[in-house]
Amino acid sequence: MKPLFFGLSDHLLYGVYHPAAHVAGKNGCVLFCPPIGQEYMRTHWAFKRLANQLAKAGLHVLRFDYSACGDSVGGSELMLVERWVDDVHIAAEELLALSGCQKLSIVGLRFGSSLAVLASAGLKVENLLLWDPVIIGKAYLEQLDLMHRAILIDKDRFLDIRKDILTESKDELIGFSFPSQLRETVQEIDLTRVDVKRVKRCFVLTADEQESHRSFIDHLEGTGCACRLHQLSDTVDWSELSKIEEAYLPGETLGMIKELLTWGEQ
Amino acid sequence: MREIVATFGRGNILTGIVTKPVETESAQNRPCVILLNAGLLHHVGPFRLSVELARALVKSGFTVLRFDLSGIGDSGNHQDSRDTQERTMGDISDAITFMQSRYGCDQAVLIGLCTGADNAHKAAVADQRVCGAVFLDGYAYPTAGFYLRRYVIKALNPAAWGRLIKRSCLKIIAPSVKDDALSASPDASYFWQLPPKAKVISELQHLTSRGVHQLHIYTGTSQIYRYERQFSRMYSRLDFKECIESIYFADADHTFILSIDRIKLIATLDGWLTKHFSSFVSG
Repeated sequence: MKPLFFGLSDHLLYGVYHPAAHVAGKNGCVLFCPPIGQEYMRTHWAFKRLANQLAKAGLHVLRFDYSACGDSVGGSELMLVERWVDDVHIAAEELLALSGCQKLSIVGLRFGSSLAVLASAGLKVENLLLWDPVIIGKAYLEQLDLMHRAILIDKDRFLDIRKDILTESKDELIGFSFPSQLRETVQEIDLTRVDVKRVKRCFVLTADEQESHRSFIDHLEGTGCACRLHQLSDTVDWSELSKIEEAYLPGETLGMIKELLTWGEQ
Repeated sequence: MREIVATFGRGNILTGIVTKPVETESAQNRPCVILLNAGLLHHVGPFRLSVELARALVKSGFTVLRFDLSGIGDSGNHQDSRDTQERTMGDISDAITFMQSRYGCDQAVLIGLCTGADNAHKAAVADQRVCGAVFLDGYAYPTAGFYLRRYVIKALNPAAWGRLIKRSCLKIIAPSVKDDALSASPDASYFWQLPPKAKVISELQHLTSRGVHQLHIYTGTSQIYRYERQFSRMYSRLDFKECIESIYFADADHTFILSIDRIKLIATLDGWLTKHFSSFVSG
């Protein structure tokens, strides 16, 4: 496990590289695209664990933080979908350089899936694994808005309702900056309209299949990409307010991702 | 400002980020600031608090380390027979040694929230190099005033009992983990135990006699801390000697979810550190 800063000297991204435990001829590499905001905090441990498992299985892994997230450079001024898509490209280049391998897979979770799909338009991707993907940005924002408003009047959290900020907290959602320029670009996201012709295989993993997942899969198959939906047995409600400060560590899901990524590698 | 990845400690398994001023002169003669994990949250801190705090403090000339204890975040696991408490104290000691040897900071100020406050207290007592400590929602004991407010609140609003729910930073939901996922890491039930009050008073007195500056901050959702002057009431036997200050942020929640509360907290910590350590002469 090697923590590092990478990217341009005036725009450093933080990441942790997990080199393959054993080097064989067919080692592939896997880039993780984490969620943003509180979902990033909740799943940090799961991604670390998954990275360790994949490295043990012979894959090179890089997990990293987008600009203005985690330990990477910047504040809210750098929170832009376009910037984060560029970050995925930079991280992919870093991983390919560190590992020396050519077969890139990407695992995205929640909004990280959206960024992975958007970035895939400019990358050659062997396997694209989308875990509880955000397909429609507008619906995602509406969910976050609802949760944020509920937090402000949560009597289990605050001694008194925060009337002082009820009307003026539009630039933050559930503890994290969410400036208007980010809101506008997230609002426009619709993965059923994104070109992903350079993706060889795509897997959508969810315990909560929705119409948007089916539309996305149909869209991908229409472009010639082999795409399958995998039903997860670990269930999670990302909108459940009482769980927002609980780490999510779903063992069976991590096992399924490992199985999908290592199939044919052994 | 520069940020550098740091790996250190026994077996070189501990990982953190050092944030340092570009002009090293400004950090000389000052203690470093070390930010501890809040519960099982990794070194970014709740809602990125540790990152924002480190980047604010560096502007006041402090060199800051935020790092993960073994088994948490980006740090590895120790493969030895020590228990969690021994490993934690060893890790904090290693962090201070690292900052001493790499950046010339002979002394350190520890800042901890929740379990971090518990760890900061124990490390401050054990390590002479600790010259200051900030405890966020650390130890608190009921007083007559606490009981008065608690029962009055209950009488007026039964729902208020819900506010006394035990809080921890980042509990774990592991619906289908079947193997050693948690055994190699700190206990899944990583809650700190409130030590006996007499012991804490004795230890705070010890810190005070050593000249260790202490700032105790409590939030509105602290389980036991319920009013502004509770600190002086619960430690009425303690001689503060201008070393101990306390603040009650009644509006804020335990993990500072709102940016307005984080900004206020960071400004408070920056001001307190600057007041006590900007012209610090290492002892």
